[in-house]
Order: sequence, then structure tokens, then C-alpha cells
Amino acid sequence: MTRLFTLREVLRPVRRNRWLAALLGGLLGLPAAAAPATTLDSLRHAWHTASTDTDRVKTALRLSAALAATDTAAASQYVRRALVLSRRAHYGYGLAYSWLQLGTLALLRHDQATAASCGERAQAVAAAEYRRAPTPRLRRLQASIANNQGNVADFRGQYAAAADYYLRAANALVALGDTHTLLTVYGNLGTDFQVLSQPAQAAYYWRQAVALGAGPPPAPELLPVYLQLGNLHLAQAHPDSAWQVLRAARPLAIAGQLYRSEYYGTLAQYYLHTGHWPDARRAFQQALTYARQKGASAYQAELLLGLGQLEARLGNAAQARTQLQQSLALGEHFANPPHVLATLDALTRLEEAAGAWQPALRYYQHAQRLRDTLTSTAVRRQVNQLAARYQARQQAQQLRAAHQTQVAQLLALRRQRQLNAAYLALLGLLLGGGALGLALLRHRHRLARQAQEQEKALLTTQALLRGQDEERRRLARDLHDGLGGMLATVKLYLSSSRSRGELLPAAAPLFEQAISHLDNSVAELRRVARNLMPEALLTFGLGPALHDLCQAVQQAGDVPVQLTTHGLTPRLAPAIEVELYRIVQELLNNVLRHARAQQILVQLMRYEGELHLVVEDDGRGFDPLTAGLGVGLRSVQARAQYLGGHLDVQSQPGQGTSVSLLLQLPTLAVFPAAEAAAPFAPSL
Amino acid sequence: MTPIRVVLVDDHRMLLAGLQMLLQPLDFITVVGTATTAAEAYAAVAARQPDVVLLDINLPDQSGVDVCRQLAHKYPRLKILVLTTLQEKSYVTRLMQEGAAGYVLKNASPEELTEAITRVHAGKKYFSDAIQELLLQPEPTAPARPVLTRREREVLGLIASGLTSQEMADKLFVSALTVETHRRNLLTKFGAPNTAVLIRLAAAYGLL
Repeated sequence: MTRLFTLREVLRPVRRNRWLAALLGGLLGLPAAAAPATTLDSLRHAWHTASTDTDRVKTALRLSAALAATDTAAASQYVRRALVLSRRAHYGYGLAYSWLQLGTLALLRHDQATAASCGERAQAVAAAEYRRAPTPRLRRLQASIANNQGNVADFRGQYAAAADYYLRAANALVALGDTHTLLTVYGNLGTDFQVLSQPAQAAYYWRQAVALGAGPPPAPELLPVYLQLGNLHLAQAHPDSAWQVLRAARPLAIAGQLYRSEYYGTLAQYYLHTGHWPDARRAFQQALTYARQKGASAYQAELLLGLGQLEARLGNAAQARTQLQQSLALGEHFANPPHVLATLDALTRLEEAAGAWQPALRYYQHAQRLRDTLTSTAVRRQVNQLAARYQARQQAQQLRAAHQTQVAQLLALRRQRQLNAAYLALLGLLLGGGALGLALLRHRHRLARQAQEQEKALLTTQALLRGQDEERRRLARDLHDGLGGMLATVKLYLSSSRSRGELLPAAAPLFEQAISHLDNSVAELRRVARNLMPEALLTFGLGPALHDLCQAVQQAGDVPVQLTTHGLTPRLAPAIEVELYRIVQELLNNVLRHARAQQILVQLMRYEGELHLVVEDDGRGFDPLTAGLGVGLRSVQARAQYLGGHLDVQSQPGQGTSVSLLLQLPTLAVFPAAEAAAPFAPSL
Repeated sequence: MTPIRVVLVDDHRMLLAGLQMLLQPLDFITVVGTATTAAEAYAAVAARQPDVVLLDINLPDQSGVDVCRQLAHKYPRLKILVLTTLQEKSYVTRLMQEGAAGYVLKNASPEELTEAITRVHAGKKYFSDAIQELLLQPEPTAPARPVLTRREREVLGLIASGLTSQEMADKLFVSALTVETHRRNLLTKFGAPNTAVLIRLAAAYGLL
């Protein structure tokens, strides 16, 4: 936690902002922003004087769009009336539009469940209408519905599904030549890809949106797109490009209220990047003013964090403290854990720099507790995102597979037709041939499906393993650097107060006990951190790390372990090293737990592209046919499969166990020694 | 006697403050500088010319291992005392190779720490008890003769009785490729250039 922070680290934007845009009222040719009172009055007048139900529906929808920004309850009322009237008049377009509008209003209220069901109904009605009479107006409506369904999917974290909706909307809009709506869809699509950590794709769609709406005059919907693009440039350390984008965004920010605070917030981030502290402070303050006016408290919290860090950086501790504490309170109010965490870290650093250990420790502990509860959800989310990415690829593969099956089917059909012609006279034979063809086809289908399922399972395992390892690495570093250092410091303080002789005689034994408990805690922490991810593996590579591991096992299990390695310099690819280490670790644990061995042998030999691992013991052994593989061996099997290797388990009761893994290394896996290769003597 | 001049390097400001508080009252040690990064450490040593550096391994900008090497190379008379939470033999041996004079774990008592500083300053080595234990342990690999897996012993026997790889593969129910892997492992382990030498060496070790 207290690594010395470089400027970039401190001033890094807290998290990526996401501004999705739902489509509102644009299709009836009305502005979505708050309408002036006169428009509202004339609309209400029109509502009372409308002669047909269709007109009343249109007016009600216009009214709801005009009210949406200020009074969503009243807006919903009007939509409901439009809904009833449309049904009565059998006005399909009005019905679909009403559902769309209800969904949009639900989105504005962050009510995803309602938004989703409204979207589905709108989609159903619009599709039926479109089948009856395919008009461009209905196609546009369907595109808007798809966009809003994408919004819902986004909020639920189903990014692949969201991208699918947006792409569908974009296709329709491109065909219609509706650049206005397309711009919003492109903006959302970019946001989606950014969340999926594909910044290149995100930038591509944002640039498309910019190309559509740059004008002159520029489209007002472009402002959030500009700002996200600016943030992306800043995250990629291209402040000059960010400045270009911000300059284009400026007139839009001044003309409209909606994203003005976000504009100044992004501007402040730009000034932070380029080191213009006073400008950054001014921009932050402007952004704060507008965010307060808009009532955007969550964004306010982010701005306060940025400002607080800036003040801390400039040495204004008192101001920084106030701002950070406000930011903390807001973040906790909105239950935004990543933000709270970032604020707590900033506060810890602030107090520490001011020499106030006690509050620093308190903030640190608070953050640590929060991190504990967060880690599991963070891992889950990370794995989900990985899975989403794989699923997208998976779908493409399935499509390809389906296509291939189709081709195969066609071929089979054609062949069958030829058979039909040739054997028309021999009816019996034809029947037999047909049955055979069918059975064959079914067989082929089943094989294809099995292969697909296997691949899917493999991909999921891979994503899981990778996510786990990254998380473990981070956790181990945190434990060692953060908690370990902290405990050591506490012990220093305690022992020095003991050596100054300020203790009551009665307290001395308790004191000694506390210190010895502290020692045990540090030892336990080291053990846990090493199990999570050994530092030596990352720094020195597989050979030395296996050395350490075998020694630790030898010590813990009181069993001699003999290690033989060959050809481990230059080092293997880091991912492969980690997997191999985990495999050996798991196998050794298995031996210690079950085998009652007198001796263990670990052997890792590498010849260019080929790698051969053996872990062998002379313990109890087991019958692989009846006992099956235990949990430990199954996880080894999964890792071996991930590496694309062949695992062989040889064991008999009373004859010990020998597990071997044969692996072809990908050619890229041979890395030049990253740092001066560990000059460990080859182990022979 | 002039006090021992010490520079402290650790990325935890809290730990630095604790160490300073601990060492300040001692008249035979004086802390002349602190650093929280490798870059600061180089600057502090260049400016202060200390006798002893207390060095953490996990630094934000560079590994303590590299810092140790560079400092030891540039200032041959400087004593580097590693102060870390990492209790791994590979780190200990590597840092000693890079010129460290001692290795102390961070949960050391104040007495142990001052003793370590005075010892390395006097030109001796110093290791925490737990580290000494680690160093005294038998190496996981110290075989008098090559250690063979069960399969390798089988293959060795079959090679000695003159079977070809394919014959061995059939006998052991494995592929010829796997047999080749075992054969190559055996040659590597015995350091033998060919099968004939392998058989001779194996016989000499009494493995046949």
C-alpha cells in the first residue's frame, strides 16, 4: 500500500466513466431535453383538442418525451394513456412506440427489469407490424428498441449480448441512412468494447460516431462520445490527442447542460496529465459546481477524489482531507466499493505523509477489510468478462461449425439423390441406403456436438485458471508488501517499548506472548503468500522456485525429496512456468497427504521444444481403475489439458505412484532470459 | 569510536519511521539517510557514503536484487544488509552472490537488528536464525549417483539387453517416442554421449 507513488499513479483517473445513451423521443422529431413551458402548454392543449385516437396517441407520446427529463412519473402516465388508446384503435406503431417509451423511462429510473420486459413487448409488437407492412419507420423503431435492449444488457453486465443488440441496431440504421440515431448506437457500442477491455475496438466505434456527427454544426449527442474518447486518450497517455478531442467538445459542452460537469472533469484530468496544477484545480471546481447543479452525486464523489489527491500533491493537507472525506462519505452512500477503496488509499497516503500514523492505520485497515470482501466479487466479474469474450468467439465458431455441418448435409443429400436415381428400380436397397445415410448423418451430428461441448468446457477452464492466477499473484504481493511490512513495523514498535523498560512487571509475560503471537502470524502469512504465488518463481524462474518448493516439502513432510532438472535456462514462458509449478505443488501435496512415502522424486527435463515432468513416490499407491482420480489429480489433469500435454498416472497398491507429463512447448515459449539468468548450477 | 553510518531503504514509510525511532537513541549507530525507491537509494548512498545499507527486496521501481548488485559493484567497501519478509533459499543464495553481507527477516527483534548491523560493519556475515536453518538444510538434490525413475530403470535394463526402441515400446505399452524421451533423459543424467558409454557407467554405478 505505501509503495512510493509516482505522479502518474496518484493522478490516474479513478475508474472509467460510462455514459450510455438511451433513445428518447427522437423518433417523433422532438428534442429529448427539457422542453420550454410553452411547448408543454401547447402540447397539453393539443391533447385536449385531438380529434382521433391516433392523434391523441402521438400527442401523449410527445408529452411524455417532453416531460421525461423533469418528471418521469407524469411522463409514464402519458405513455400508459397512449398504450390504452393504441390498443383500442388497433394502432400497432403507436403500441410498439409506447412500449419503447416506457422502457426508456424505466432505463432513466435504473429499473432494468421493467425496461427489459417493455423492450421485449415493444420488439414483439414491432416485429409483427413489420411482417405485415415493412416500412422504414418500423425498421427505425426496431433499431431504437434494439439499442435500448442493449442498454439493459449492459447494465446487467451481459456485454456480449449488448454488443449483439447494438450491432443489430447499427445494421438497420446504416441501411436506413439514419445517421442521427446511428451516432448514439455507435457511442454505446464503443462503451461496450471499452468495458470489455478492447480499447482499439472502442476507439474505432467512437471515431465512427465522430465522423457521423462532427458537422458543422456538430451533433449535440456527440459530447459524451468525445469525452469518452478523451478519457481513452488520457488512459493511453496521449494527452495531445485528448486535447484535440476536448477542443471539439468545448462548444457542445457550453451549449448544453447535460454533460457539462463531465466535460470539465475530463478537462481536469487532462491538466493533471500535463502537469498544469492550477488549471486542473479550476476545472475540477467548475465540474463540481455543475455536478452539484445536476444532482449527479456519484460523479461528484469522483471529482472530489481527484481534487483531494491534487491538493494532497500540492501540500494542502487540510483541504485535501476535507475533500477526500466528503468523497468517502458520498462513495459509501452510493455503495461504490472501488471508489471507496481508491479514496481510502488516498486518505491513507495523505495521513501517512502528514505523519499521523493512527488515522493512517485506521484507513488502511478499513481498506483492507473492504478489499477482502471485494476480491471475490472482483474475481467473479473478471472471469465473467473473460467468459463473455470467449463466448463471443465461441458463437462465431459454432456458426462456422453449423455452416460446415450444413455443407456436409447438402453433400450427403446430393449423394443420396444420385443414389435415388441409380437405385430407383431397387426400392428395397434404396430404403436401406436411406436408413444408413440417416444413421451416418446423426452420428456425424453427435460427434460435432461433442467436440463443441468439449472445447467450450476447455475454454471455460482456461479462463478460470488464468483469472485465478492473476488474482493470486496480486494477493500474494499485497500480503507480503502490505500486511507483512505492517506487522513487522508493529513488532518493532512493541519491542522497542519493551526494551525501554516502561512496562509494569505484571504485564511483561503478556507482552512477550503478544510478540510471539505476532511472530507466528508473520510466519503464517509468509506460508500463505508463498502458496498463493512464490516470489521466486516470478523473479528467478522455474528451476530455483522448484528448488525452494522441494526444500519446503522436505522440511514439512520429513521426507527426502530429490529434484532433477535439465534445460530450464533460458526460461519458459511465464504462464507455462506458473502452470508447471502448480502441477508439481499439487502432486507433492498429494504425496504428503496420502502416500506415506519414504522418498519423493521430482524430475523436469526439457529438450528444446519438448518437456518431460515426473513426480514419483514409493508410498502406498492406489488402484487407478477402482479408486478414480482424486480432486488433486483432477486439478492436475485440468492444468495438463490447459497446457496441451499428456498426463500419465501409474500406480498400484503398495507399489508407489508415478505421474508423468509429456508436453510439446509452443515455439514462442522459449523466451530469452529476461534478467540475468539465475546462475543456478544444473542440478546434476 | 565514530558511529556506524546507516542508510535505510524500504518502500514502507511506516517501517522506515519505526526503524529510525529504534536506532536513533543508540550512540554507536547513526541513520544518515532513508530511501523508498531504488533511484532514491542510489542518490542517498552517493551523497551520504554510508558504511551500511539496510535494503528491502520489494521496491517499486527496481528489484532489490539488482540494487544490491549495482551498489556492491560501485562501492566495494559498502556493507549491504538485506531486510525482507521473503524467506526463500533462492533469494538468500542469489543475494549473497550479488554481494550482500547479511540477510535479516523483517520480524527481527531490535536487538537482533543492531547486532546484525554491527556484525556486518565489522566485516562478518550475518543471517537470521530462520535463514541459517534454511541454509543448513540438505539440498533437495545431492545424489551420489543419478536418480532414476521407475520407468527409466526399466528402460535402462532393456537397453542393456540390447532391445531397439520399437521393441521396448511394444514391451512397455508406450510409444516409441516416449521410449526415446526416456533414453535421452538417461543419457543426460549420466552425462553419456552414447548408449555404449551409458551402459558402462550404469554398470559402474551398480544399476544393472
